[in-house]
Amino acid sequence: MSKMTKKKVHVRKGKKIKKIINQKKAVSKPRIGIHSITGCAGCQLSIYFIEDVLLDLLDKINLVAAPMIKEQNEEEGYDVLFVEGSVSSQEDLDNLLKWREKTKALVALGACACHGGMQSMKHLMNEKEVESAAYAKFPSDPRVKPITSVPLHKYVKVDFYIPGCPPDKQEIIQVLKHFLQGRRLRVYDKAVCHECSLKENYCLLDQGIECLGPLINGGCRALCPSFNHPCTGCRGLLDDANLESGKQVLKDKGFDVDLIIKRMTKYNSLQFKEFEEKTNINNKK
Amino acid sequence: MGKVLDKKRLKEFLGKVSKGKELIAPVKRGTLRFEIININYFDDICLEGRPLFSIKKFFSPAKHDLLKLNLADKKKPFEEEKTRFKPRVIFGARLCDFNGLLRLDKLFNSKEYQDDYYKAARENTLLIGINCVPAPSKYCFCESMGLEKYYDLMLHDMGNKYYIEAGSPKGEALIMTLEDYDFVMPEIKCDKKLFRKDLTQYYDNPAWNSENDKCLSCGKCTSHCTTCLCFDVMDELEVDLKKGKRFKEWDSCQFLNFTLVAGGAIFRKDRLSRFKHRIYHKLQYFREKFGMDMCTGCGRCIEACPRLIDFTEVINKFR
Repeated sequence: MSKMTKKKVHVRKGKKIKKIINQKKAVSKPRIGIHSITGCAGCQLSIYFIEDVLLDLLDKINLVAAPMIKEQNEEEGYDVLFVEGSVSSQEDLDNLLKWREKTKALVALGACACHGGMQSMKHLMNEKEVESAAYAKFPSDPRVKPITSVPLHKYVKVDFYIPGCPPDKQEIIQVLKHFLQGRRLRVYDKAVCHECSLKENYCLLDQGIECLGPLINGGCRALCPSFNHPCTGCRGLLDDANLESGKQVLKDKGFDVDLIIKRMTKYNSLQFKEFEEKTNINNKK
Repeated sequence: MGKVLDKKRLKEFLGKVSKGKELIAPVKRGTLRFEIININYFDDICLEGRPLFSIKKFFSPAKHDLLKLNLADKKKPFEEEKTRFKPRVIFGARLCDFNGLLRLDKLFNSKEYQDDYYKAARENTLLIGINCVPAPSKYCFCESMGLEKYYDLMLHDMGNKYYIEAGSPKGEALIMTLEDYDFVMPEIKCDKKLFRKDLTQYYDNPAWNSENDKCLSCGKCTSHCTTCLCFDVMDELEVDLKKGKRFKEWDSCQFLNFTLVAGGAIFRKDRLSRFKHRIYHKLQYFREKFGMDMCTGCGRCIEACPRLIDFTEVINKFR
């Protein structure tokens, strides 16, 4: 008889401990933040568009900062912080540095945050001219005083990149799931052409359409080429993209050099510029 | 000696052969491609030209699940994905396609590296080919590769009838009732030639550079190849972080991070070494190991390449 009661006590104690552990677990849900600097905010929206699993995900995380959908936002102690947009003003830079200090893992979300996006096009133009064309009307307002637009990694350490304009919903889910498991996801690093041929699409280049597939990082499951829309490069150039050969492909198809460069620099001006500089140095050698 | 079949009776013949089986044939949907079709859509089958994607996808699919994961179940956290195969008939593929399977057999159907999916697919598939006279593409060079006569049935177009030759007992049984015909199957003739040789001494030859400069490392050559088989294995969990799957997906040696290992080392960092690796694997390493070239001379890698890079021209320069 006494043995029985002893056992029961044990079980109860065990349950209690489990409860405490569960409570602790609840407290230690990862603190996620979503912040925005200069960009269209579309990347953030694509997080909120993960309707099919969003509620399940919200169960597992503690969304402490998301100014777009929440009124009260905490300003520090993020485990994972998603930042969209490129650094384009002093205010952006100040915010980014402040967030970085209070964040364990920073994720660059979207084309602007990863590669500079469209606003970095002015790297290839005269910056003063571009500025005066847009902001000459407000000479005294410090908020509209732009600085040279660059992706996040030019100023702070970035732990993970989710490129794309907008980023792929599935990829965002993947990243979150990996963080929750404590695993590290690999940034997709195969060309768009690869995923396009896994789907057995009819090559747009063969159809005479100016697709940038061979030069661009995939991970989008070749969304645009699958719908007969040429790849415009929103996921950035491959680390070892062969730009010279890529230009030649399009030249062979009869496209104008200016148009080719415009296409390539739509999202990735900075990367493009760096590639050109590298080849120039190599050629001089 | 083979048999003869009137063209008008092909539908009837195929219907009989593929009864209760899946029929795979080239059809024109935007481009020419191999697809599973119903015999009622016989008229969609297009035997002119050759699909740019080979039939390897029916044996080693671009993406396919290996394991079902259930981490909540401590005793049985994973379960093998079982595939039940409906017998299949592949019609209208070419000799290079079938020879590609012979190469893949060396790995996926061997004792050492057996792939269950591949093995089941091979055992349940009947191969009916169409002879390449004339050669379906200007990039073909299979004449130089010494392909084996490997098929169950091979059809040869003779205007209003087909000459049929059997390459296996299975095939012979299928054409038993047809009329005998005295004829010799014509050999395939290609415009392009490859002068095969031992490539060991040419590894550092500067002739590789000009073609390598064109290479975009986009991986189209490998995904279109009849024999390329490299894949990547990945795990994916559902949102509950318990259930999930392990799947494999084609990979390509042309990518920078194909040889990335823990610690961040990359063995083939420069493009040239990756470019040469593909060709050496096809024409040198595989031969050293298995006694045959891995390349079947289908020319798909040349045709699919955005820059039409042609490795045969480089090798033909070595005299």
